[in-house]
Amino acid sequence: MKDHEIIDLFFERSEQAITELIDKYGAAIKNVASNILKDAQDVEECTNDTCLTVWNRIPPKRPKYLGAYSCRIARNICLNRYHANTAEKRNSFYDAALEELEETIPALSTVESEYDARELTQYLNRFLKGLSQDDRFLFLRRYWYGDGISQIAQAMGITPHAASVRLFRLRQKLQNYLQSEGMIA
Amino acid sequence: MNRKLISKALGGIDDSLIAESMTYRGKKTRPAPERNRKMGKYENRDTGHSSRRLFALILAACLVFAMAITAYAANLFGIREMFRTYNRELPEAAEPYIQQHTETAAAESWSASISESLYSGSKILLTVTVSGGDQYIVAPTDAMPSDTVGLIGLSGDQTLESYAQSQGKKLLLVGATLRHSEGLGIYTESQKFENASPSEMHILVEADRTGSEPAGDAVCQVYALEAGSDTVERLELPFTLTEAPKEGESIFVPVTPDAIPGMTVGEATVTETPLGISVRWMETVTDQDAYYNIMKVDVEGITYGEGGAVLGDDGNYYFQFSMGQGTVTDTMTVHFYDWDKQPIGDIVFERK
Repeated sequence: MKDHEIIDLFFERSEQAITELIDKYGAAIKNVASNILKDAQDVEECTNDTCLTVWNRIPPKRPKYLGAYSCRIARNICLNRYHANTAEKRNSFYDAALEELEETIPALSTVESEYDARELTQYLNRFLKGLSQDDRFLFLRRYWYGDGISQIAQAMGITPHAASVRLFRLRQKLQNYLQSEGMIA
Repeated sequence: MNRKLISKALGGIDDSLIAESMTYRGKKTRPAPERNRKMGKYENRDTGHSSRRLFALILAACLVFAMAITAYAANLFGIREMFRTYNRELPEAAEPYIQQHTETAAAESWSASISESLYSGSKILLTVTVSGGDQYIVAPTDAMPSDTVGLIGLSGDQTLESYAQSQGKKLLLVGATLRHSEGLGIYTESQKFENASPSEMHILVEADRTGSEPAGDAVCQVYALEAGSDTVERLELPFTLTEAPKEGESIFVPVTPDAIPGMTVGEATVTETPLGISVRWMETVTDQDAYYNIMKVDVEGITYGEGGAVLGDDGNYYFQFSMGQGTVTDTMTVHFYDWDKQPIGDIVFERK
């Protein structure tokens, strides 16, 4: 079923909308959740919470990309739980990925703020749009979806080593870009 | 920046980009063995007609002359500069042992020269400059024509292929290796690239040898593949290695050799040189899947940039790194991690 047809079902308040959403994007949502959270029960609960949130937001919202919209909601729900639960930290795929970026993006000031995060978002969007589709896929699968290196390598038909090296170069490229834009020293 | 804010910043990335990355839409990359076979095929082929050879020889002579004139300029961007480009610092103690070079060679439409080398025990560093002349835009060997020009230091989102076309040039993918040097025993090697201009590239070759016995003569092979072509052109640059002195060598014995699933480790050799600390141990594989799951190795008290395990001629794997910085004590604790940086376990070595 096409995205706009599923969204129409949400607008009609048909419970079939949830079934179709899970059918089409359930695996992607679960993947995002399990990359951030270790516990299977937490993953299940976050997946259910995601469906409920999508149900509550559509209507009035009519997202252009239903998959990305749902995965974003899943990511936010999982991150809230992740930040609240210290036991998850340093044990998830997502934390390993964030650690890599933390090494790439040094602290902007002694007191970092939400404003810094918003500014970084703008730079990240510009940086990503300047990359090839392959590099964008690699970067976002690792740092947004939180996928493991071997999982990404398999999807792209390259070796984990090649994926790892390419990611390293992308992080360097990001660092150079942020330096050239004056965001980091 | 702290993880929470980075995570928040990532959360704001455009939906269109997230949607695009839900599934992989690119063409799966050609596996490496096929590329190697194509390179092998080239070695046996006839390289062309005699008139073409004559033309190539004349052009090559001109290029060698031009390279000789610019050799000094190329030397200005050597090992230290390449290290800094990649946010690394060469140990000060190693700087006196950097050797300057002027070896050059030329193909029909491109040329290469060695600028500097540094050799210490099992580690060789070498900088090479490749010039594409008037015909080529030069990019790293693993670049793809669809990559953006950012890869060669330009801004904008134009692809390498379209940029080369807009300049009336072709794209040349280049690399350099020491692997073919007889008796050098190179078991692992990496390259780093930095464009001086779209038509000129500096390459840093970092090679590790299987042993630490003295080495003298070496050959740097520079290879180039015109994008869209199947034939690899190669240039050979013979040069001499001058070794920096060793400062000490010790053997360490593993307390529990099979503490990590998938392998049993042997004794470790730890060597101290002006370039830093080299560590090497043998790994006998007992379970291949578990063994391949090992990605990262940390040695407590010693930091290092690059290292890894490779298959030796005797069928065993050897883990080795060079240029480690830190202090060697009587106990060496090694932490092993998987591809997702999850800890697998530790092995403790004690000085013999």
